Amino acid sequence: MLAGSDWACTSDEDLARGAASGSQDAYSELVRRHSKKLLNLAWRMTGSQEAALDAVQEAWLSGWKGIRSFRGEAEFYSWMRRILVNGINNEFRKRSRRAALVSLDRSMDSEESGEPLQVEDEGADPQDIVGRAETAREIGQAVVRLPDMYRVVFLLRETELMSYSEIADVLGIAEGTVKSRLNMARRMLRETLSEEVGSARFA
Amino acid sequence: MKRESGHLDAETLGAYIDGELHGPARQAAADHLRVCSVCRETASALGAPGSAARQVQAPEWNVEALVARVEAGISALEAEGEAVNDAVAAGRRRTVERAGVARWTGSAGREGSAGREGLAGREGSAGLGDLAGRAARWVKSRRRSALGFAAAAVILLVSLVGAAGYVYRREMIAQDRVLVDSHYIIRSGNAGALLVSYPGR
Repeated sequence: MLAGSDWACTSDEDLARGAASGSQDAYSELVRRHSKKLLNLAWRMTGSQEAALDAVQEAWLSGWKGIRSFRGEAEFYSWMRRILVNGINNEFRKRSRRAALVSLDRSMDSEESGEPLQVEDEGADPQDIVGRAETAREIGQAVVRLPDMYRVVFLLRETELMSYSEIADVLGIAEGTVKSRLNMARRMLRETLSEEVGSARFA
Repeated sequence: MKRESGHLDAETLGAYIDGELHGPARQAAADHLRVCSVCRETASALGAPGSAARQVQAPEWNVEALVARVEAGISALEAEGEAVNDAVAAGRRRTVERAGVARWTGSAGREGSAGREGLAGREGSAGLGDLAGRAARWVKSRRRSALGFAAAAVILLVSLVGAAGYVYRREMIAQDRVLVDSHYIIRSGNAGALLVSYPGR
C-alpha cells in the first residue's frame, strides 16, 4: 500500500478498496475527507453538536463493518450519507416524538443561545446582515422543531440538494410522499416564520 | 395541477423550483408563471426557507478528534472480534481436557494446535481471521438456537442409527433365507419340493 502522506492522490474508491482489504489507515483518510459534510447534515437533522458527533461516529463504525458491500456504483459520500441518514432515522423512530422534541429543544437552548448562528459576510449593509442572521437563526430553530419525517425530507432536498428520487431511495418511501412531505415542511416553515415576524412587528 | 382559483398549487410550484417538473408540465408551469405575479410570489416564498436554511452557518468541527474516536472504535471492534475468537478457542480446549479420553484428546489436541499454528501463520491476513471472528460472534449471539440445533442433531443421529439397524437386520434375514433355500435346492435338485416343504420361506 501507499505511504501515509500519499493518500491525497488516492481516489475514494481506491481508499474504500484498501479499507475493505483491512487497511485502517485508508479508512481514516476517508473519515478525514467526508466527516465535515456528514457532521453538518447530522447537526441539521438532530439540532445538537453532541448528537451529530455521536451519529457520525456510529455511521463510520457501521461503514467499517459493511465496507466490503461498497461496490463503487455510487459515490462514497452518498453511500456514507445513506448509512448516516438511516442511523439517525432509526434513532428518531426509537425515541418517542415527545422525548425527541424535549431533548432537541434543550440542546438548541444550551448550544445556540451561547453561540448564536451566523451567516456569511457578503459585504452587504450591516443592518441587512443582522436581518439575515435573524432569519437564518429563526429558520434553523424552526427546522429543528419540524416533525422528524418532514425535517429529514426538507434538509435532504434543501441543504444536500438531492433529487426527489434520491431522497425516495434513501428513505425507502415513494416519490409522491417526498413531494407532499416537502410541501408540508415548507408550508409549516412559512407559517412559523410569518407568525414570528408578525409577533415581532406588533410587540 | 391548477387549483380552482386558476393558480398553480404549492406542490407543483415546489416541484418547479426544485427542477422536478419535466416535459409539458414544466412548460405549462413556466408559461403560467410568466403571466401570473401571484404564483411568482408564492414560488419565491416557497424557496425562501430553503435558501435561509442553506445560509445557517454550521459549527466548526474538530475532524481530527472524530478521526481519533473512529479509530479507537474500530480498534475496539477488532479487539472484541479477536477476544470472542480466543474465548471460543479456549472453551473448546477446556471441553477437550475435561473429556479425558486418550484418543479424543490426541486427535482434538492435534487439530487444536494445528489450528493455532495456522492462525499464527496467517496473522498478517485479515480475511480469514475476520471470518473466524464473525463466525465466533454469530455463535455467541445465537447460543440458544445453537443449543436447539445441537439437540435436533442428536435426535436425528439416534433415529438414523435405529433405522440403519433395522435395515441391517432385514438384510441379514433375507441373506439367511437365500442361503437356506439354495442349500435345499442343491440337495434335492427339486425346486417344487422346496416350495412344498418350506412354504413360509
